[in-house]
Amino acid sequence: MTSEGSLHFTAYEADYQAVLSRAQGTVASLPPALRNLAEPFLVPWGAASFSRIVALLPFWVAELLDRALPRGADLRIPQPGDTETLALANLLGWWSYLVQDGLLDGDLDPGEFLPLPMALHASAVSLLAQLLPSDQAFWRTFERLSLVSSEASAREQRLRLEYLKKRKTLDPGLAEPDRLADRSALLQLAVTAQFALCGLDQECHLYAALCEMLRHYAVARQIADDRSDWVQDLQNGQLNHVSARIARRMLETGAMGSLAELDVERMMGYYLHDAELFASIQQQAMDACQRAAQAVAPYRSRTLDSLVSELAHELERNYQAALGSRRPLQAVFTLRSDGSAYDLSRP
Amino acid sequence: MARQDLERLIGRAVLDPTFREKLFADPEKAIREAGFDLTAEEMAGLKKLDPQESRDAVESLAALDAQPWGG
Repeated sequence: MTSEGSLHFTAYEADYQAVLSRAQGTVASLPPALRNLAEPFLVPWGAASFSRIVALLPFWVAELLDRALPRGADLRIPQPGDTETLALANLLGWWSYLVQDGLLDGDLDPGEFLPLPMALHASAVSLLAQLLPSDQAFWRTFERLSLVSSEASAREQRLRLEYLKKRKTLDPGLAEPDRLADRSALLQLAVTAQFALCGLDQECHLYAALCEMLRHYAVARQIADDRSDWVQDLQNGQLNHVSARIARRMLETGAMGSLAELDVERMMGYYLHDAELFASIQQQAMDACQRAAQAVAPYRSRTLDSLVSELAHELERNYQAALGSRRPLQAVFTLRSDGSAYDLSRP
Repeated sequence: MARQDLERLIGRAVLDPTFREKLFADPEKAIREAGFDLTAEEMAGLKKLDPQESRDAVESLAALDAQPWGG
């Protein structure tokens, strides 16, 4: 997704560059063995759109808090620089997650890279501890969300093909969108820290609305990600949400007898054939976008509205482009779009 | 041709550029080398396809599926 020109990014480009520069400085200050592992990734990490999102979220929320909440004796004004420090903690936390994800996907060698996410995570936690040393409510939430995120990683192991093929059946929950919402833990943590910094209660309606928005945004975004890389993931031996949906559907329709038959070529052939499944995955992502937008609609945040709206447009553009490619392909192979038949013999 | 073989043939055409080239250049040879078992009627249907149109359709889909989202 190339969205650096969007409203939610352009107005905050200087803030992002400042945070990015501090993050690069943090990596540069790591012991050489760790620094050397991280440095080759700094450019792609810095350019990734999700790095921008996690780093800029505190700035967007700060603007929203400033505008949406009435000034009162209980509202603390964060110190200058606190928002940037929080953004830095988010960015380092996200990079730690990226390395863990690379380890889980088999893209990175655990023997070499295992210490790196721990170092990045420690840097992020250290920053949060400076900002919120004694806020017990925040640290309780930190523990809870860390466990949610860890559990989601543990579940990913159950999407490894080698694990699934031994069991031959698919846990129906593995293809449920709710499981994707756990990926929003880091974003929710960022909002929780920001509310704690301002002395705001987690019972506040705006807090619930932001967490709700981030949960649905994470679902939509993850479906978009998984739709674009399910083949590559599967070739690496891992089902993601989209391929889990395809596998479940193939089992349900009898196109596949058991998970022992899982095969990326067959799944691609099936996916092209099943127009209903293709449309249903898109609908699920668009529903999530709509719920994300609705959650924060009363607060009229231009940046958050722009973030969600851009994702919805991107999803629709990619869907229409994929539809456009599927139709001639189905005609090429004379597949019928209602999914009722395969037939190579008809012109 | 069994349904699962046809799924695999289509999937391979999308995912494997080398097979794709061979399939549209010389369908009979590509199918035989890959070990797919098409009936004469199915093979005749495959040969009727416009190679360039077929290649364009498969390649555009393969490109979409490989499109990175940006991390």
